[in-house]
Amino acid sequence: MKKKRLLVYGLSAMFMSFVLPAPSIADVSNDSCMECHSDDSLERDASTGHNASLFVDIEKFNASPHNFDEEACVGCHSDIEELDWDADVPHEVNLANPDCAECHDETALAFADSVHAENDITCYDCHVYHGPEQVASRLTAATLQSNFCGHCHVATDSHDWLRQKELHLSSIQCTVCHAPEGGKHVRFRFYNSYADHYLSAAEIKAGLKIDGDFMDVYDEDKDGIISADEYFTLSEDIRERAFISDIRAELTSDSDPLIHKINSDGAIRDCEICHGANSALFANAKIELRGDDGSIRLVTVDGKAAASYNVKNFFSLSATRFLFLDLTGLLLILGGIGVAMLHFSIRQFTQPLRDRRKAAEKSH
Amino acid sequence: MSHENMEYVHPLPVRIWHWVNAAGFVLLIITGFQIRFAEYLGYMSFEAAVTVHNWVGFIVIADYFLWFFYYFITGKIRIYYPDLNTFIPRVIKQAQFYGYGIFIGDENPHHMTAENKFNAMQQKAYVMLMFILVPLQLITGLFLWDLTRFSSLVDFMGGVKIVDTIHVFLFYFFVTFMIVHAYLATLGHTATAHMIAMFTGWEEHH
Repeated sequence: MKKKRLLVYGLSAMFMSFVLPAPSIADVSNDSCMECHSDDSLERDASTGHNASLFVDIEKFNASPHNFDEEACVGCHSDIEELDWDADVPHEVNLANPDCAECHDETALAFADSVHAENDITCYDCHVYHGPEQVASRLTAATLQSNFCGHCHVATDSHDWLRQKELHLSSIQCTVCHAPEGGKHVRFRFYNSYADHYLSAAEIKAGLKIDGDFMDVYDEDKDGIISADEYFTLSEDIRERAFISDIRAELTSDSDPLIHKINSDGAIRDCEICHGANSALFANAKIELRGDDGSIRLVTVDGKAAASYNVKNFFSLSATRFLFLDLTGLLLILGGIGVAMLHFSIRQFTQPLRDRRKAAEKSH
Repeated sequence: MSHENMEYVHPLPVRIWHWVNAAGFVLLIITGFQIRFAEYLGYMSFEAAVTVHNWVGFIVIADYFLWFFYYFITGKIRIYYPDLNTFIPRVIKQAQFYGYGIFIGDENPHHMTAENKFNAMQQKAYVMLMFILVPLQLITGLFLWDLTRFSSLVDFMGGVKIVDTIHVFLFYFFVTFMIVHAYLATLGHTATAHMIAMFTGWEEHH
C-alpha cells in the first residue's frame, strides 16, 4: 500500500520534472518536502527499519521557533542535498538523525551536564520532532508539565515537602527550580476566564481598543519597560474599557540554554530564594504578546507590578507585598505601644494625686 | 484561699481557651513576622515558620470552637451582648474613667461579676473581635493555608491578594491588640491582679 503511494508520488514527481527544472540543494524548499510529507498516512514501512509516521504537520512547524528563525527542513536534514524525483523516494531512505548541537551548541553543553544526558534521553524525547516548542517562552507551567516533563514525571507524585504543592506546580515552571542556573521571570498573560482562553496580541489590542503597537501606547516614557505606573494605566484601561480579561502570572524560565541543565540533586529547595522581598526572581516581569502565527513577543514590565492588586491570581508570600499595608501596620503597632506608654506615664506622673486622695479618704 | 471578696468569674474552659489562644497568638505573631519579612529576619527558616504557623493556626481555630460552643451551650454568650439602652452612656463613662478618672483615683464604674464580666468598652471590643475579626482572621488564614482547595472562595473574595491583605491587616491589628490588651490587664487593683485571676478564675473585688 505504502509502496503504491510512493510510486504515485514518484510518478507525479516524474511528471513534474518534465515541466519544472530539476531542483538543486538550494531549491529543496519546505514546499518540496511537503509534496510527500503532508500526507498524514505516509509511513516508513517495516522493510526500512521500523514503522513510523513520516507525516509532518506544517502548521505546527510553521508555529515553531525553527520556522521563525527561517530554518528549512534541509537545515536539520542536511544529508539531503538534492531530490531525485525519478526515484521511488526522492532522497536517501535512511537519513541521519539531525544533530541539534550543530546549532544549539550552548544548549548541548548545558544538557550534557544533566541527569537527562546521563540517562541517554535525547532532544526528541522532550521536543516534538517537527514542531519543537520553545518551552520557556511558549508554555504555561501546566502545559509544560503535561506536554514535556509529564511524559515521564508525574510532579504531584513527589514534591511532598513542598507546601501547597498543587499551587506551586500550577504556577511555576518545572525548570524554574530544577534548572536553577537558568534565568527566570514572572510572565503575565491576558486570560479570559469565561472562555478559558489565553488571548493573542490581536485580541488584547482589540480588547483594549488600541491602534498601533502595544508599547507605543503603554510605554509612555519610551524606556522600553512598562513601569509600575504605566502598568497601572494598563490596568485602568482594562477596567474602563470593559475588557474581559484577567492578567494571570506565573514564574517562568527565560529562554536560556541553561534550563537544560537539570540535575536531580541540584533543584531549588530553599523557600527564601523566592519568598523574600529582595528575591531576584521577582525583579522583572514580562507580558506575553502572542502573534496569530504563534510567535511570542515579550514586553518587559517592572517586577513591582507583580505586587499590584490588578494581578489577581499571583502572589508570593513576602515577595510581592504591598508597602502601604506594612506602613499602616507599623503605624497601628506604634500607635498601640504609644498609647500604652503614654497612659502608663500619666499614671506614674499622677500617682501622688491618687496617694493624696487615698490618704484624705482614710483620714475621713 | 479565702473567697471573701472574691468572685469566680473565669470558668475553666474560658481560662483554657484564653491561654491557648494567647500562646497561639504569640506564636502566630512570631512566625507571621518571619514569614512576611523573610529577607530581614532570620530567627527561623521560612519553611519552619510556615509549618509552625499552620499547625498553631489549626490549634487556634479548634480553640475558637471551644470558646464558641462553651459560651453558646451554657448561654453565657449573653455577657457579650450589650444592653443597648445603657450601652452608649456606659461606654462614655468607661472612656472617661480610662482617660481621666483612673489618674485621679476614681473608682472603676464597672464592677466585674460572672454575669457582667465586661465593661462597656470591653463589650464593644470583644463583640467585634470574637464575632467578626477573629473569625475573619481564621477564615483568611485557612484559605491561605491551601489556596487550591479554597480557590472558588478565594476568587469570590476578590483573589489571593485581597485575602492576604485582610489577613495581614488583621495580623497587625492583633499585634496591636495584644500590646494594648496586656497593658490594660495591668490596670487592676494591683498590676498582676487581672492576670492572676485569669489563671485561678477568681477575681478579687477591691
